[in-house]
Amino acid sequence: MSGASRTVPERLLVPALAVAALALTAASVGIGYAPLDLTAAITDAWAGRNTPEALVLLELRLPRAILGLLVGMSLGLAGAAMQGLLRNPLAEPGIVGISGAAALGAVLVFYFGTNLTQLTLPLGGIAGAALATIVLFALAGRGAGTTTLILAGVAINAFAGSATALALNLAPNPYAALEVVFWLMGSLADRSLAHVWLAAPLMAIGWLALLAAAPGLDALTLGEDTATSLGFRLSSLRLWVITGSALAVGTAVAVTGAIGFVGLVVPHLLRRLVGSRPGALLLPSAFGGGVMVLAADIAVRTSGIRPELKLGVVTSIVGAPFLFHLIWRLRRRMT
Amino acid sequence: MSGLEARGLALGHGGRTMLAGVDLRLASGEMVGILGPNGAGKTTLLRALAGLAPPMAGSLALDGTPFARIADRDRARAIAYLAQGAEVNWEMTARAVVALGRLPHRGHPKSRDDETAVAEALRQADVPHLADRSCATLSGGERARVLLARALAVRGRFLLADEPVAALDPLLQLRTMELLGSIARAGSGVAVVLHDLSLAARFCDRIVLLAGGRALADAPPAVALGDAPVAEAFGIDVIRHLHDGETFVIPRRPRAPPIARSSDDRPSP
Amino acid sequence: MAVSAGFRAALAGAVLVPVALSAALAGAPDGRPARIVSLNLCTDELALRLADPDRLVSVTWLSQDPRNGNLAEAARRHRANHGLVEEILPLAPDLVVAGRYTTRHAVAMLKRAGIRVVEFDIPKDLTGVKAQIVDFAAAIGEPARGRALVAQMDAELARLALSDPRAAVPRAFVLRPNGFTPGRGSLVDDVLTAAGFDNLGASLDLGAYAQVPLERVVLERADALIVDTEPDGPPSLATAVLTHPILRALSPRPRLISIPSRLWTCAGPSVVAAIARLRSAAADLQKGGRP
Repeated sequence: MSGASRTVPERLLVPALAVAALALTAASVGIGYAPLDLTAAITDAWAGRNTPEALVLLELRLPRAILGLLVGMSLGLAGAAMQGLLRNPLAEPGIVGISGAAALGAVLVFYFGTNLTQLTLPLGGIAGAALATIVLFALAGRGAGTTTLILAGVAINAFAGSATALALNLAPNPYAALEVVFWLMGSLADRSLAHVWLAAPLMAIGWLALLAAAPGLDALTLGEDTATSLGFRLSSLRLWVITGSALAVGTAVAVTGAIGFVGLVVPHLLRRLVGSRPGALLLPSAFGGGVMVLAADIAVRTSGIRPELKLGVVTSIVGAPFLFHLIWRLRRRMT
Repeated sequence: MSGLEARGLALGHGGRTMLAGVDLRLASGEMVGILGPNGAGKTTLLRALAGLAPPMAGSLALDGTPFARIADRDRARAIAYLAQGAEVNWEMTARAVVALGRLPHRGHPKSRDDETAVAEALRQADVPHLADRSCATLSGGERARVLLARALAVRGRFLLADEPVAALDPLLQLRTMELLGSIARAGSGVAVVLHDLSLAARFCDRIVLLAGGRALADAPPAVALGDAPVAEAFGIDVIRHLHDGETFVIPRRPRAPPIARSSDDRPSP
Repeated sequence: MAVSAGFRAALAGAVLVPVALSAALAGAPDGRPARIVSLNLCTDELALRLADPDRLVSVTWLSQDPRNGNLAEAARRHRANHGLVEEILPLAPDLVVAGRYTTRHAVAMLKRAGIRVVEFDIPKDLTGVKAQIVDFAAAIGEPARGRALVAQMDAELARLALSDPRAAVPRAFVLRPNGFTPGRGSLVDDVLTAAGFDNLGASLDLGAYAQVPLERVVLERADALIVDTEPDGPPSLATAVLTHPILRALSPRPRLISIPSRLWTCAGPSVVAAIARLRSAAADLQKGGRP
């Protein structure tokens, strides 16, 4: 356990995870529901011919792979940042109510809106997440402490959950509840490049806000007073992390539905590899999240289980045992 | 006007007055002990001096510049603060914890001596052998020393330490006080909250004695820890023992009536 | 107070059940049920078509909404029920018709109260639809009307234009809520085949119901997408798939055919109307020189 032997894998961790995430993105493009002649598809796409093969490559497989990467990175990064902010390994991005509100926004705008386009759903979700963030800060106040934030998040989650149920109850489409239950389990199926163009900029801004919080999260390891004495303002640190999470995760939920456990498990798995420093955990968790979501999406398509499993179901099945392990370890430490 | 200076400092929390007009000046090269009974406002005063709690009234200035006009990070580089307790939330190594003291220096031209500063802080606090241990596996005393090293790694011109010897055995208490004294002699201004009257009398250049949010005394130990102020502040009689030119002040017994503290909800007899 | 209220409730219950039973016995002098209550959207339609209006006491509130029921106007002339035992017992039915999978608690309690309940399954093909009509008619004591309705359906089906046997069979996907597509062994599969379509959902081996990935729609070069709703129907995630830009980019673009769900949600006589619509769409596709 010498210092030198620990820093080497730490230095290689981010590049290794980044390469893995990009490799899985490429693999995801190659995997689908029907055999696709990739060479022909690429040639046609390059020549600008609208053959079904080229269209499937450009309009279906590429957006799906890219969204898998973006959504996974958002969930992993926001999870790591939220755990750092709340100084709790059981925290996840949904804890402050962003995901629930995004789902509510999507349902409301979709089932009660007019003028349906393919971006109606994600735009509604983003609006819901934005509104929840404003309500969160209004509820918790500017100098809000951690407990107040979590309580406000619980309140928003509870409200969003029951309001979603109410909306589905009153929706004009009798199958709305069924559809939305499945949608909420998360899926990357049949998304388009328009989803990518909508999500990518918002997520990127969220990522920058979260990464900018890294030094502050490091300082927070030693408590709020010490962090302040090291030159960090807690109110602005909370603003960065929560706004960044709302942008990244709110958009992710809006585009793909809720994909659970990624934000919880990925930071937990990688924490020891970066020596537990919360700021150093952010970038590896982003790429780790990308790896997890892409791997789950590939598994969903290749498992042969039909009807196809939902993405959130797969990540939860894989993630839940890690959560049990985490709780087990926490319990042992307390006794 | 060099030094860290508070004038007429008043602070409250939840309607309760914690500090009611305290003056304090901490100059470079001196070691000031802050003493007083529980609830006297010692921690509040130290937090205010570190810029952690904005005062309701009074002024705080660093080398004559009001705190409000100093950037957070500049203030953080100048004033190191060691909090009470030993909070370390993640299982980081001691070295990584100490390195957190360098955060105010990030992006600063001098940041190249980060590693030197961390190594020196570990050595000063006598914990280089613990550098690669996880903080979760350290004893209370070891962890307190590592956190002291963290504060030293800031290399601030002022060091404010809240009960740095509370968790330490007698040997480490002495070592820590010697270390703080040497840091003061090397040119930093050190303010330290203590409960041990003897350590305060032997190692501090000056004592600020607080009670009920007011300074009862701000004077050299021989004056501030005299019978009258100690009796008024703590409600105790002490034994004084002179040995090799150093004064040892040992609590002997409570004064009658047993605990005669002035308090809002208990009228003094 | 509490005792007397409880006593009254017990008394009311004791009185109610014998009344219901005596009504049931009294109302059937010719062996035909005289007080029929239907608890299911699909049995509603059969009851409205086959039973004498004065023998049909109540249908579900669903049938009275023209978006769900094909005979909404006729349904409104009957009392509506919501599948609740408390509404049904006072109606003193002598026959309750219900679906196999809905209002399970009500059905169980009605049976305990000694009321005759006949449950109907969901037919899996056209033969099953016709068999069910015959069964239903027998249950309500109108076997002749059942046979007549089946004969009428057969006649309507026979009148439909036959698809051109020389032209290629158009290939279609059906998109139902949440993108589920009916596969082999479903009624919809049988309806599509009867209408002259190749149901791609069935050839994909996705099981009876599965989600159809857009990728398959494109690469299978489907000629038509059959949607389960009216174009101006309520928003649905199934139809949201249709806004995907890839469908606009394809050339030729698959034809969109909408069959309102009320025509084939229930496996009843109205599936003939669905087949008629689909067959004319298939003929159109063949005339258009596609595929």
